[in-house]
Amino acid sequence: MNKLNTALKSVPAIDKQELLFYIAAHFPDTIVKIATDSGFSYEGVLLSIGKVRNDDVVLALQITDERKDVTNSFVHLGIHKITAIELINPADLVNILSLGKASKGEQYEAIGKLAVQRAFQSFSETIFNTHGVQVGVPAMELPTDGLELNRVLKLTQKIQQAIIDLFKEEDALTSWKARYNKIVFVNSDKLEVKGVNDSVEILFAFNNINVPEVSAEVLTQLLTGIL
Amino acid sequence: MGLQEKRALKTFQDGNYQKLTSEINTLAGFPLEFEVKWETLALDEYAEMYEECFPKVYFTPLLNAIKEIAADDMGKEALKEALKKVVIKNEGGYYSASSAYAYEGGVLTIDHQPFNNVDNITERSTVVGELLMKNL
Repeated sequence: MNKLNTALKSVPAIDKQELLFYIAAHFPDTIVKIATDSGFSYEGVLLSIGKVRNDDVVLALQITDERKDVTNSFVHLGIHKITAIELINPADLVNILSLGKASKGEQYEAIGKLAVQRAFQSFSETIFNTHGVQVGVPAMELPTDGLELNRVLKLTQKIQQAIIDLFKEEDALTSWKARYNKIVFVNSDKLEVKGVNDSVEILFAFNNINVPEVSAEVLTQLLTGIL
Repeated sequence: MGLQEKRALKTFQDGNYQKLTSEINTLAGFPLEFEVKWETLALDEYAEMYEECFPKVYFTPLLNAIKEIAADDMGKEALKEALKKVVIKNEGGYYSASSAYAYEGGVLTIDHQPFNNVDNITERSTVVGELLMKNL
């Protein structure tokens, strides 16, 4: 629960309409309980949200019963009448409340440093065996927390795959081979890729388990930028 | 502990125990300290089973785990840094792998009933291996 609370703290404020739109579009099976200023509340799944002529926004809700099964009853409500929206067992609360900008994402299990050190070794060997390029064993100051170590391991595998895919382009492979033979992972809030002498430095929130993992596409673009 | 148990225990301590701990130390690449609470293991009326059950319950799973971890120099080094001592006992009444192993401050404690789930070696090997890996 602490992890969820931490993630929720980073969620930006959103208005009711944005929230309902997002749920209807991405999590249509989520059951919501909607309280209105008349004192009534309704529990069901969102069917549609639309504007009407007087510029009011209304939603249609299909009511669910106590077993959470949809019934043949429907409610039509003006958004301005809504005082509270309760999400009942949402699939990915962080994703919903952040409108898709954050996600509960990867789940981490505590591991030890040895597993990460072996993954670093394998990173270098796998890339060499695939493309014949000596990128080096990643150098990094490892965290002590087991969950953070698991994140480093998973990120290492993602970076490894991104580099393997990048080297399918002959010019990228040749350029890397000519310039770099070391690789360094640096813990940082911001994703950056730098070429420093003969080293490629990848800066990322390696240790922060609440930050979404690096996108392979963005990483590839940044790696291409230093070649 | 009756005479029969004492004799069986002595036979195990002088024979199989020496062999198994020596094998574990060779695989690990350094001498591990073993503390075995023999009086809790050597239950009355089970003397004839010591030779079969003690290795299967306590030593073979550890040996399997160490073999896997210490397969390379990196593993040997990590193991040497993190594992100092192994305590073997039968005090908590545990008979499943998930409850039998604990690690703290360089000490691996194996607390398992000596004559229960004896052939469940694979599961114990996996559990102790994973526990050690988490702490290396």
